[in-house]
Amino acid sequence: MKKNNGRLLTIFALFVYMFTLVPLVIITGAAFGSDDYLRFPPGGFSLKWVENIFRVEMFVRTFKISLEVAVIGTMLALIVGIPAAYALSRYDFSGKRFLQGVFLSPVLVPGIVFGFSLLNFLIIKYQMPVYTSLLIGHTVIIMPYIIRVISSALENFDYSIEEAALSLGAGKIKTFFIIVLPNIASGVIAAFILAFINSFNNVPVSIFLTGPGVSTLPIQMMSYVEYYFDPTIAALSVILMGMTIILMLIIEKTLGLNYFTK
Amino acid sequence: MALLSLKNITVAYGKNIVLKNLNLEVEQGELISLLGPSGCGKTTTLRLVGGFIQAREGQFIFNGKDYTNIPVHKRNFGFVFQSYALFPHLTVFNNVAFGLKQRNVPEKEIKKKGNGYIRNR
Repeated sequence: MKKNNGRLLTIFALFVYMFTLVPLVIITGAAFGSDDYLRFPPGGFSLKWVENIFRVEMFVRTFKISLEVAVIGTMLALIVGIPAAYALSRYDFSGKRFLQGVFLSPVLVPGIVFGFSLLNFLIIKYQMPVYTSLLIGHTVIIMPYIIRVISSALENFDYSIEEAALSLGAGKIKTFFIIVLPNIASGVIAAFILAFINSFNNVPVSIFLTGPGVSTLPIQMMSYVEYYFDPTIAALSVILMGMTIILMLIIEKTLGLNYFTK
Repeated sequence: MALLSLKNITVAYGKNIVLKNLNLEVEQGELISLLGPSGCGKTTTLRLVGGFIQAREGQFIFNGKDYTNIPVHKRNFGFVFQSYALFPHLTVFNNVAFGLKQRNVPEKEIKKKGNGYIRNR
Protein backbone atom coordinates (compact mmCIF):
# COMPACT_ATOMS: atom_id res chain seq x y z
CA MET A 1 0.00 0.00 0.00
CA LYS A 2 2.73 2.40 0.98
CA LYS A 3 4.75 1.55 -2.08
CA ASN A 4 1.76 2.19 -4.24
CA ASN A 5 1.29 5.62 -2.69
CA GLY A 6 4.86 6.51 -3.51
CA ARG A 7 4.37 5.65 -7.15
CA LEU A 8 1.15 7.67 -7.27
CA LEU A 9 2.97 10.64 -5.84
CA THR A 10 5.74 10.31 -8.42
CA ILE A 11 3.22 10.30 -11.24
CA PHE A 12 1.44 13.27 -9.72
CA ALA A 13 4.68 15.22 -9.39
CA LEU A 14 5.56 14.35 -12.97
CA PHE A 15 2.29 15.82 -14.16
CA VAL A 16 2.85 18.98 -12.17
CA TYR A 17 6.28 19.41 -13.74
CA MET A 18 4.87 18.69 -17.17
CA PHE A 19 2.17 21.30 -16.85
CA THR A 20 4.67 23.95 -15.83
CA LEU A 21 7.59 23.05 -18.07
CA VAL A 22 6.12 21.73 -21.33
CA PRO A 23 4.62 25.11 -22.34
CA LEU A 24 8.04 26.64 -21.84
CA VAL A 25 9.61 24.01 -24.08
CA ILE A 26 6.99 24.68 -26.75
CA ILE A 27 7.50 28.44 -26.56
CA THR A 28 11.26 28.03 -26.78
CA GLY A 29 10.89 25.69 -29.74
CA ALA A 30 8.55 28.03 -31.55
CA ALA A 31 10.80 31.02 -30.87
CA PHE A 32 13.59 29.52 -32.91
CA GLY A 33 11.34 28.03 -35.61
CA SER A 34 11.11 29.15 -39.20
CA ASP A 35 7.31 29.01 -39.52
CA ASP A 36 5.16 32.11 -39.73
CA TYR A 37 2.93 31.08 -36.85
CA LEU A 38 3.37 29.39 -33.48
CA ARG A 39 3.99 25.73 -34.33
CA PHE A 40 5.52 22.88 -32.41
CA PRO A 41 7.62 21.04 -33.33
CA PRO A 42 9.00 23.84 -35.50
CA GLY A 43 9.55 23.24 -39.21
CA GLY A 44 13.13 24.44 -39.18
CA PHE A 45 15.65 26.50 -37.24
CA SER A 46 15.85 30.24 -37.72
CA LEU A 47 16.68 33.32 -35.72
CA LYS A 48 14.44 35.61 -37.74
CA TRP A 49 11.87 36.01 -34.98
CA VAL A 50 14.53 37.00 -32.51
CA GLU A 51 15.69 39.55 -35.05
CA ASN A 52 12.13 40.70 -35.58
CA ILE A 53 11.87 41.77 -31.91
CA PHE A 54 14.33 44.55 -32.58
CA ARG A 55 12.45 45.59 -35.72
CA VAL A 56 9.26 46.27 -33.79
CA GLU A 57 10.01 49.76 -32.60
CA MET A 58 7.46 49.63 -29.75
CA PHE A 59 9.20 46.67 -28.16
CA VAL A 60 12.50 48.46 -28.04
CA ARG A 61 10.92 51.61 -26.68
CA THR A 62 8.78 49.92 -24.03
CA PHE A 63 11.69 47.74 -23.00
CA LYS A 64 13.55 50.92 -22.13
CA ILE A 65 10.54 52.29 -20.25
CA SER A 66 10.08 49.03 -18.35
CA LEU A 67 13.76 48.98 -17.45
CA GLU A 68 13.68 52.61 -16.36
CA VAL A 69 10.54 52.23 -14.27
CA ALA A 70 11.86 49.03 -12.67
CA VAL A 71 15.23 50.57 -11.75
CA ILE A 72 13.97 53.97 -10.59
CA GLY A 73 10.96 52.44 -8.83
CA THR A 74 13.16 49.96 -7.00
CA MET A 75 15.56 52.73 -5.96
CA LEU A 76 12.69 54.83 -4.61
CA ALA A 77 11.23 51.83 -2.83
CA LEU A 78 14.64 51.11 -1.28
CA ILE A 79 15.00 54.71 -0.08
CA VAL A 80 11.60 54.54 1.62
CA GLY A 81 11.66 50.83 2.44
CA ILE A 82 15.00 50.51 4.22
CA PRO A 83 14.20 53.09 6.93
CA ALA A 84 10.69 51.64 7.24
CA ALA A 85 12.04 48.12 7.66
CA TYR A 86 14.57 49.43 10.18
CA ALA A 87 11.91 51.14 12.27
CA LEU A 88 9.62 48.11 12.13
CA SER A 89 12.29 45.69 13.25
CA ARG A 90 14.13 47.82 15.82
CA TYR A 91 11.52 49.88 17.60
CA ASP A 92 8.30 49.26 19.44
CA PHE A 93 5.65 51.87 18.94
CA SER A 94 1.88 52.08 18.94
CA GLY A 95 0.33 51.30 15.58
CA LYS A 96 3.29 49.13 14.55
CA ARG A 97 1.10 46.16 13.66
CA PHE A 98 -1.19 48.39 11.66
CA LEU A 99 1.70 49.91 9.72
CA GLN A 100 3.08 46.44 8.99
CA GLY A 101 -0.29 45.56 7.54
CA VAL A 102 -0.37 48.72 5.45
CA PHE A 103 3.08 48.07 4.01
CA LEU A 104 2.19 44.52 3.07
CA SER A 105 -1.25 45.36 1.71
CA PRO A 106 -0.23 45.83 -1.95
CA VAL A 107 0.50 42.09 -2.07
CA LEU A 108 -2.80 41.23 -0.42
CA VAL A 109 -5.00 43.50 -2.53
CA PRO A 110 -5.49 42.07 -6.03
CA GLY A 111 -3.31 43.94 -8.54
CA ILE A 112 -6.26 44.78 -10.72
CA VAL A 113 -8.09 46.47 -7.84
CA PHE A 114 -4.98 48.34 -6.85
CA GLY A 115 -4.29 49.44 -10.43
CA PHE A 116 -7.83 50.66 -10.88
CA SER A 117 -7.80 52.67 -7.67
CA LEU A 118 -4.47 54.25 -8.63
CA LEU A 119 -5.96 55.20 -12.00
CA ASN A 120 -8.87 56.89 -10.27
CA PHE A 121 -6.74 58.55 -7.68
CA LEU A 122 -3.58 59.64 -9.50
CA ILE A 123 -4.61 60.15 -13.10
CA ILE A 124 -8.28 61.12 -12.89
CA LYS A 125 -8.43 62.98 -9.59
CA TYR A 126 -4.96 64.56 -9.48
CA GLN A 127 -4.33 64.69 -13.24
CA MET A 128 -0.81 63.35 -12.88
CA PRO A 129 1.21 62.49 -15.99
CA VAL A 130 0.95 58.84 -16.99
CA TYR A 131 4.67 58.17 -16.57
CA THR A 132 4.76 59.58 -13.03
CA SER A 133 1.71 57.54 -12.05
CA LEU A 134 3.26 54.39 -13.48
CA LEU A 135 6.40 55.02 -11.46
CA ILE A 136 4.42 55.65 -8.26
CA GLY A 137 2.33 52.53 -8.84
CA HIS A 138 5.38 50.35 -9.31
CA THR A 139 7.16 51.85 -6.31
CA VAL A 140 4.17 50.98 -4.14
CA ILE A 141 3.70 47.43 -5.40
CA ILE A 142 7.34 46.49 -4.88
CA MET A 143 7.57 48.09 -1.45
CA PRO A 144 6.30 44.98 0.40
CA TYR A 145 9.05 42.83 -1.13
CA ILE A 146 11.70 45.34 -0.15
CA ILE A 147 10.41 45.69 3.42
CA ARG A 148 10.04 41.94 3.90
CA VAL A 149 13.48 41.01 2.65
CA ILE A 150 15.27 43.89 4.42
CA SER A 151 13.40 43.14 7.66
CA SER A 152 14.53 39.55 7.60
CA ALA A 153 18.11 40.69 6.94
CA LEU A 154 17.89 43.07 9.92
CA GLU A 155 16.41 40.39 12.14
CA ASN A 156 19.51 38.29 11.52
CA PHE A 157 21.80 41.12 12.51
CA ASP A 158 22.54 41.37 16.23
CA TYR A 159 21.34 44.68 17.64
CA SER A 160 24.13 44.80 20.22
CA ILE A 161 26.64 45.24 17.39
CA GLU A 162 24.94 48.54 16.64
CA GLU A 163 24.97 49.43 20.33
CA ALA A 164 28.67 48.63 20.46
CA ALA A 165 29.30 51.08 17.63
CA LEU A 166 27.22 53.71 19.44
CA SER A 167 29.11 53.23 22.67
CA LEU A 168 32.40 53.62 20.80
CA GLY A 169 31.41 57.07 19.67
CA ALA A 170 29.65 56.66 16.32
CA GLY A 171 26.38 58.57 16.02
CA LYS A 172 23.09 56.90 15.12
CA ILE A 173 23.15 57.79 11.44
CA LYS A 174 26.85 57.07 11.04
CA THR A 175 26.36 53.69 12.73
CA PHE A 176 23.64 52.89 10.25
CA PHE A 177 25.84 53.63 7.26
CA ILE A 178 29.13 52.13 8.40
CA ILE A 179 27.87 49.20 10.49
CA VAL A 180 24.29 48.22 9.61
CA LEU A 181 24.27 48.81 5.87
CA PRO A 182 27.41 46.79 5.02
CA ASN A 183 26.04 43.88 7.03
CA ILE A 184 22.64 43.81 5.35
CA ALA A 185 24.10 44.47 1.88
CA SER A 186 23.26 40.98 0.66
CA GLY A 187 19.66 41.50 1.76
CA VAL A 188 19.56 44.82 -0.08
CA ILE A 189 20.81 43.15 -3.28
CA ALA A 190 18.25 40.37 -2.92
CA ALA A 191 15.49 42.91 -2.34
CA PHE A 192 16.62 44.89 -5.36
CA ILE A 193 16.56 41.91 -7.71
CA LEU A 194 13.25 40.60 -6.43
CA ALA A 195 11.64 44.02 -6.70
CA PHE A 196 13.12 44.51 -10.15
CA ILE A 197 11.68 41.25 -11.44
CA ASN A 198 8.29 42.04 -9.96
CA SER A 199 8.15 45.49 -11.46
CA PHE A 200 9.43 44.37 -14.85
CA ASN A 201 6.87 41.57 -15.19
CA ASN A 202 3.90 43.41 -13.74
CA VAL A 203 0.73 43.53 -15.82
CA PRO A 204 -2.36 44.13 -13.63
CA VAL A 205 -1.20 47.44 -12.20
CA SER A 206 0.63 48.66 -15.31
CA ILE A 207 -2.36 48.09 -17.55
CA PHE A 208 -4.26 50.90 -15.85
CA LEU A 209 -1.32 53.25 -15.70
CA THR A 210 -0.22 53.16 -19.30
CA GLY A 211 -1.45 55.47 -21.99
CA PRO A 212 -0.50 56.93 -25.32
CA GLY A 213 3.27 56.92 -25.68
CA VAL A 214 3.89 55.42 -22.25
CA SER A 215 3.63 51.67 -22.04
CA THR A 216 5.58 48.83 -20.50
CA LEU A 217 6.92 45.78 -22.28
CA PRO A 218 4.44 43.22 -20.90
CA ILE A 219 1.53 45.48 -21.86
CA GLN A 220 2.97 45.99 -25.32
CA MET A 221 3.38 42.24 -25.69
CA MET A 222 -0.27 41.72 -24.83
CA SER A 223 -1.49 44.21 -27.40
CA TYR A 224 0.88 42.75 -30.00
CA VAL A 225 -0.65 39.30 -29.55
CA GLU A 226 -4.09 40.77 -30.16
CA TYR A 227 -3.11 41.71 -33.72
CA TYR A 228 -0.34 39.37 -34.78
CA PHE A 229 0.15 35.77 -33.93
CA ASP A 230 3.68 35.18 -35.11
CA PRO A 231 6.52 33.71 -33.03
CA THR A 232 8.04 37.14 -32.29
CA ILE A 233 6.25 37.08 -28.96
CA ALA A 234 7.62 33.61 -28.25
CA ALA A 235 11.15 34.80 -28.96
CA LEU A 236 10.65 37.79 -26.69
CA SER A 237 9.24 35.58 -23.94
CA VAL A 238 12.30 33.35 -24.13
CA ILE A 239 14.57 36.37 -23.74
CA LEU A 240 12.59 37.63 -20.72
CA MET A 241 12.63 34.15 -19.22
CA GLY A 242 16.39 34.02 -19.68
CA MET A 243 16.76 37.39 -17.95
CA THR A 244 14.72 36.27 -14.95
CA ILE A 245 16.61 32.98 -14.73
CA ILE A 246 19.97 34.79 -14.77
CA LEU A 247 18.84 37.17 -12.01
CA MET A 248 17.54 34.28 -9.91
CA LEU A 249 20.80 32.41 -10.42
CA ILE A 250 22.69 35.45 -9.18
CA ILE A 251 20.58 35.47 -6.01
CA GLU A 252 20.95 31.72 -5.58
CA LYS A 253 24.73 31.95 -5.95
CA THR A 254 25.17 34.96 -3.67
CA LEU A 255 22.67 34.31 -0.89
CA GLY A 256 20.54 31.27 -1.58
CA LEU A 257 16.85 31.44 -2.39
CA ASN A 258 15.88 30.58 1.17
CA TYR A 259 16.18 34.34 1.78
CA PHE A 260 12.61 34.71 0.56
CA THR A 261 10.98 31.88 2.42
CA LYS A 262 11.89 33.06 5.87
CA MET B 1 30.77 63.43 46.25
CA ALA B 2 30.56 60.09 44.52
CA LEU B 3 31.97 59.68 40.99
CA LEU B 4 28.83 58.07 39.67
CA SER B 5 25.42 58.47 41.16
CA LEU B 6 21.95 57.37 40.19
CA LYS B 7 19.20 59.36 41.84
CA ASN B 8 15.62 58.09 42.10
CA ILE B 9 15.86 56.31 38.79
CA THR B 10 12.69 54.79 37.38
CA VAL B 11 12.77 52.80 34.14
CA ALA B 12 9.74 51.29 32.47
CA TYR B 13 8.98 49.51 29.24
CA GLY B 14 5.42 50.51 28.50
CA LYS B 15 3.47 49.74 31.66
CA ASN B 16 6.07 47.32 32.92
CA ILE B 17 8.15 49.08 35.58
CA VAL B 18 11.62 47.56 35.71
CA LEU B 19 13.46 49.90 38.05
CA LYS B 20 11.70 51.91 40.71
CA ASN B 21 13.41 54.69 42.65
CA LEU B 22 16.87 53.23 42.33
CA ASN B 23 19.61 55.06 44.19
CA LEU B 24 23.24 54.07 43.73
CA GLU B 25 26.53 55.79 44.51
CA VAL B 26 29.87 54.56 43.25
CA GLU B 27 33.18 56.08 44.36
CA GLN B 28 36.29 56.47 42.21
CA GLY B 29 38.20 53.18 42.03
CA GLU B 30 35.40 51.18 43.57
CA LEU B 31 34.52 47.78 42.05
CA ILE B 32 30.81 47.08 42.07
CA SER B 33 28.97 43.90 41.23
CA LEU B 34 25.21 43.67 40.90
CA LEU B 35 23.69 40.42 42.06
CA GLY B 36 20.14 39.20 41.71
CA PRO B 37 17.77 36.79 39.98
CA SER B 38 17.12 37.24 36.28
CA GLY B 39 14.64 39.97 35.51
CA CYS B 40 15.48 42.08 38.54
CA GLY B 41 17.01 44.89 36.51
CA LYS B 42 20.79 44.32 36.55
CA THR B 43 21.11 44.67 32.80
CA THR B 44 18.65 47.54 32.75
CA THR B 45 20.78 49.43 35.28
CA LEU B 46 23.90 48.88 33.19
CA ARG B 47 22.14 49.85 29.99
CA LEU B 48 20.91 53.00 31.64
CA VAL B 49 24.43 53.97 32.65
CA GLY B 50 25.63 53.12 29.13
CA GLY B 51 22.91 55.33 27.69
CA PHE B 52 21.11 52.66 25.63
CA ILE B 53 17.85 53.33 27.44
CA GLN B 54 16.32 56.43 28.94
CA ALA B 55 15.04 56.79 32.48
CA ARG B 56 11.44 57.78 32.89
CA GLU B 57 12.29 59.61 36.08
CA GLY B 58 15.43 60.41 38.00
CA GLN B 59 18.89 61.68 37.33
CA PHE B 60 22.26 60.19 36.43
CA ILE B 61 25.26 62.20 37.56
CA PHE B 62 28.81 61.35 36.52
CA ASN B 63 31.82 63.31 37.66
CA GLY B 64 29.58 66.15 38.77
CA LYS B 65 27.91 66.45 35.39
CA ASP B 66 24.32 65.56 34.50
CA TYR B 67 24.46 62.67 32.01
CA THR B 68 20.74 61.91 32.02
CA ASN B 69 20.10 63.18 28.52
CA ILE B 70 23.51 62.72 26.91
CA PRO B 71 23.29 60.27 23.99
CA VAL B 72 25.31 57.04 23.97
CA HIS B 73 27.92 58.07 21.44
CA LYS B 74 28.85 61.18 23.40
CA ARG B 75 29.29 59.45 26.78
CA ASN B 76 32.64 57.82 26.13
CA PHE B 77 31.80 54.84 28.36
CA GLY B 78 33.16 51.37 27.75
CA PHE B 79 30.58 48.61 27.55
CA VAL B 80 31.12 44.86 27.21
CA PHE B 81 28.27 43.03 25.50
CA GLN B 82 27.21 39.49 26.31
CA SER B 83 27.46 38.53 22.64
CA TYR B 84 30.95 40.10 22.16
CA ALA B 85 29.39 42.29 19.44
CA LEU B 86 32.33 42.29 17.06
CA PHE B 87 31.82 43.95 13.68
CA PRO B 88 31.59 41.01 11.30
CA HIS B 89 32.42 42.99 8.17
CA LEU B 90 35.61 44.55 9.53
CA THR B 91 39.10 43.12 9.93
CA VAL B 92 40.50 42.37 13.39
CA PHE B 93 42.56 45.55 13.23
CA ASN B 94 39.61 47.69 12.23
CA ASN B 95 37.56 46.17 15.02
CA VAL B 96 40.23 47.21 17.50
CA ALA B 97 40.71 50.63 15.91
CA PHE B 98 36.99 51.42 15.54
CA GLY B 99 36.65 53.48 18.71
CA LEU B 100 39.80 55.48 17.97
CA LYS B 101 38.60 56.26 14.45
CA GLN B 102 35.31 57.56 15.82
CA ARG B 103 37.25 59.85 18.13
CA ASN B 104 39.19 61.25 15.18
CA VAL B 105 42.55 60.09 16.53
CA PRO B 106 45.25 60.67 13.85
CA GLU B 107 45.83 57.71 11.51
CA LYS B 108 49.43 57.22 12.65
CA GLU B 109 48.51 56.94 16.28
CA ILE B 110 45.66 54.55 15.48
CA LYS B 111 48.14 52.25 13.71
CA LYS B 112 50.55 52.33 16.61
CA LYS B 113 47.95 51.84 19.32
CA GLY B 114 45.91 49.29 17.38
CA ASN B 115 48.89 47.13 16.53
CA GLY B 116 49.92 47.21 20.16
CA TYR B 117 46.89 45.04 20.98
CA ILE B 118 47.24 42.56 18.14
CA ARG B 119 49.87 39.87 17.98
CA ASN B 120 50.70 38.36 14.60
CA ARG B 121 51.32 34.65 14.75
